[in-house]
Amino acid sequence: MSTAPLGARKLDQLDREELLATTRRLLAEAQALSSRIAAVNEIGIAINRTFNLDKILQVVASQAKWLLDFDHLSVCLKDEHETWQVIRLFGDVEAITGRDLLQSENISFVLRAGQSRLIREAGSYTFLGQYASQIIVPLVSEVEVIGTINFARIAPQSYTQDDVRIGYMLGLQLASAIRNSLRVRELRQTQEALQRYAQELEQTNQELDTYNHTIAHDLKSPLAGILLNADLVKRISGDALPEKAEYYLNNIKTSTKKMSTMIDQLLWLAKLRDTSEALHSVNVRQVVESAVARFHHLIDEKHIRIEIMPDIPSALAHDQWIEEIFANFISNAIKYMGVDNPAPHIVIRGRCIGDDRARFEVTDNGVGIAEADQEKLFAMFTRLHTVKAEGLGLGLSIVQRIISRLNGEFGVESTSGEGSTFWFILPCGDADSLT
Amino acid sequence: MSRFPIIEVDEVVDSKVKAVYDEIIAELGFGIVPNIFKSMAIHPDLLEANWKKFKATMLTGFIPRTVKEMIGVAISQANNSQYALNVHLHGLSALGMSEAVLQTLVSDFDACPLPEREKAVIRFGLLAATKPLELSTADFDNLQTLGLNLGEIYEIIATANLFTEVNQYTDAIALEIDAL
Repeated sequence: MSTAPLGARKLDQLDREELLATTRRLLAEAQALSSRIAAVNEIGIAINRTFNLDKILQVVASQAKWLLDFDHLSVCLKDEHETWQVIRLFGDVEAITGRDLLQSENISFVLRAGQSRLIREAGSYTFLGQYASQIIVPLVSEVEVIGTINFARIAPQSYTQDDVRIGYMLGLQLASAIRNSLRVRELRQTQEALQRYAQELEQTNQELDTYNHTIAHDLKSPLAGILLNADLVKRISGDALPEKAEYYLNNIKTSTKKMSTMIDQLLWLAKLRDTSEALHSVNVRQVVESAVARFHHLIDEKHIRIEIMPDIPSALAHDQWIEEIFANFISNAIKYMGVDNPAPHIVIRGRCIGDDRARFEVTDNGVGIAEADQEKLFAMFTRLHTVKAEGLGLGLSIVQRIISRLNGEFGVESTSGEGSTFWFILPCGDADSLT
Repeated sequence: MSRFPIIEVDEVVDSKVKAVYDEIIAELGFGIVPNIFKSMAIHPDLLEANWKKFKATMLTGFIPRTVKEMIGVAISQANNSQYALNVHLHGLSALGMSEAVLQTLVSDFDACPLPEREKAVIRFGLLAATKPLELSTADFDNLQTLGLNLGEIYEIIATANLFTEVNQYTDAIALEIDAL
């Protein structure tokens, strides 16, 4: 008999017991981790319920103890001046500035490398030097280190790698919550700035409109005086008025009327800002006839044939606004008809596009507009000089403003020397109301 | 068989009950209305009040929900009340707690591999529910030493109170355990 096998058996048994004990310990540790992981998830849910940074940090301050033990808990974040600050959530910390913070080897490593650091026995000269055990976890969001969360205990060797992993999981949740809160803060600031700007703009517009209105009215009174006086001079002088004087008087009257029209248009522009009145279904054919009637003298004088096509749909708008659009388009068509046009002709038509939009057109066979000039057409006070024509340059900008107020579209299709089609699209009025 | 009718979600006609059911589905986190609330639908005002109390106790506050659920499991085990024991063990499992930890939580609490703070809180909650007169100032001091403030300690007592009530109610009406 030999003693060796007995010794080996004893050793085997000891090994097995030790192995079993170690396995049990490791299993228990692994199982214990599950409650800490569940707690991380809960903190994650709680901090993502709010966009308020103070509240986020308050939740972390009160709940982090369920993940890790600590005598000190803090986060390092940049303030609004981009300076690093330590925000203490629990326990003491010596006063430290952003500059000192970056000079601390541990913290600057974590901020630079984006990797957690486990310190088992910290030297007293480092950041949080009064605490021997530390875990410094980077707060990483969108590949950027936006800060750190720092756990510390007075006793050395207090933390393990498992603690670092738990701290890292919390760090990920916290970084995303902080990032969201900063984004929301930026958005709110931008929104407030935009609201302030919109209010200022609205106020400036109102002041401008009031100013416009006052000036226009003030300008109209002397014009009426000029017209009246010109008429009086003509009436008093009767046949005694020299021919040349009558010519000049007529010039005064024409210029005065032109100026009066210009002022009316300026008043129109100012008035268009007021959209308080509700839109209604406009009988467009009726409005077109009314607009054409404004120009009957010119139409007769220039022998222009006007054709209004049947089945013009209704539009959702104000009668006066639609009449103004057609009046502007017809006026332009007349002006740019060309002096030697043998058969001047204007066609007005409308049709439905789909279920809820309608397109209206004014087509002439006048001089047309060069492609390069078409873009400039709707700018205020722009008048194209391809031909000699009367105009004030405000008309199309009024059209532009009306159509934009009605959520419509407009444009021009034209070929130089062949004529133009000015068109606009608006929401339809009542269905089945073709006019 | 429950002694009160279980009113299913699609059988609800009362608007208050419907509103409470909707809130439970949205906020409880399991996408269902547990039988305990379905059994209270015969009295909409009490259903609403009990749900509000449950929500305030379990779904808000600073003590993690997992810890509160563990207190509930320990109390239900002590009271031998099967409804809350089963439902909240399932809840803990859904929240990510390991089955092995949950088993030892019920069978051998002292050996349960939980951090000391959690174990102290569960012990305190169990005592508050089953033997409140045995709670001493030292027990309060112990929790405060572990970093809990008085508000958090109140959350533990409120949780103990809630589960005592739940156990008493579900046992009285012989409530069926939800099909989880």
